[in-house]
Amino acid sequence: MRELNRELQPLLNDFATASKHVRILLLTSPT
Amino acid sequence: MCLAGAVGAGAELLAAMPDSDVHAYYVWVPMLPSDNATAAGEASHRLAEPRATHYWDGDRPLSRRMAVELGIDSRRSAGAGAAPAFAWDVYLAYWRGSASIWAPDLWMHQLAVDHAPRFEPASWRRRITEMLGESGV
Repeated sequence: MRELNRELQPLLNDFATASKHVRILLLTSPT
Repeated sequence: MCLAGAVGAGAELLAAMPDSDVHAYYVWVPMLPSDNATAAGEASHRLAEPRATHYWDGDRPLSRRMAVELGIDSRRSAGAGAAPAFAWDVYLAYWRGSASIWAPDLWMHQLAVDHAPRFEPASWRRRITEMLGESGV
């Protein structure tokens, strides 16, 4: 699991790297 | 709904499509007092899957920006309090080639907003299946 507190770049990079795929993004609380 | 919603929109979708070309990004957002990095880590272990990646949005930089982009005022939703608006219990999908994470091609929610469809598992799965089919799989 990656932290987004300092920057969003890890997620943005992963999202861009997978641009050849259909992608889903799920924002929710863990409990 | 929270974790249950993520299971429905993510884990159950992936399980139903074991060979599908879908990548899932779970962003765990603190909403309840019990939501912390430890709980997010436990959820990420429970929903671990080769096609899934997990992130902890502890200070909500992503969910606050996404609320702006999607036009969500979470203060209208139960339990959100007076904190700056942030997006949670929202599920977004992107065609192949879509470049901006801030501009989903489809999104559903479990919030008190009415400008996007509420999450419904069968409808979500059907729409994702359509995206896979229409984008070449």
